[in-house]
Amino acid sequence: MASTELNILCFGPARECAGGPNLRFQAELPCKVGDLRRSLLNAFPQLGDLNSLRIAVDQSYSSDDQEITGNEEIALIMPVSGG
Amino acid sequence: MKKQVLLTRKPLEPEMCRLFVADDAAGGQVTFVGAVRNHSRGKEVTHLDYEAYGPMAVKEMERIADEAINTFQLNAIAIHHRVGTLTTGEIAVVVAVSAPHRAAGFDGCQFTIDELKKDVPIWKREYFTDGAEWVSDRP
Repeated sequence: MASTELNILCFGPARECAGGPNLRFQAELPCKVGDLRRSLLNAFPQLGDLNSLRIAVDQSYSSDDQEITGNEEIALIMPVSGG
Repeated sequence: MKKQVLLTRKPLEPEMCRLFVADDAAGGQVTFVGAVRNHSRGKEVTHLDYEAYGPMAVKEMERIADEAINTFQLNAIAIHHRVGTLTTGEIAVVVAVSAPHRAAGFDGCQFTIDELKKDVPIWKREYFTDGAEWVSDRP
């Protein structure tokens, strides 16, 4: 386990909640997506809750048991509103 | 599989989508056009900003297009979405499909726009005369 600074991409409402398009977030790697979601929501409650905040890994929606090693492209996806 | 996905800052042209899906083997063509409404929650909307996670939005639109073709046996599908600043009345999204018969066309078109609204990473910010907010701010 090593503590590493992840660069997390933020768009739209998440960009406003996180204060910019790139959120630097310290995490113990490797970790599961579910752990990262919980840590992020603790640090930034304005991002929503476990039912609404999704995380994309390498431009696809992830499941909570997916592992993050630090080499992925990670993005916060708050509820979308296209169309 | 005939599909076309487009994410663009330029104005959308529904007829371009219809022409893309036109097929001699398809007796039904269905086009959905989504435009910017001039009101939301009782307030006047002046304009919208659409922001996308571009590469993932294109991937998600392609995934949904493939699923729609396979599920409804469509001949072709086109999904175009606009980003940037749009004023009321402007077109934000176009979904066009073609199918041998109309039932599959209607169902495939509805499925596609419904899935797009659930999963494609695009966000709209509504501007009112007295402020602005992201639409996913809503409870």
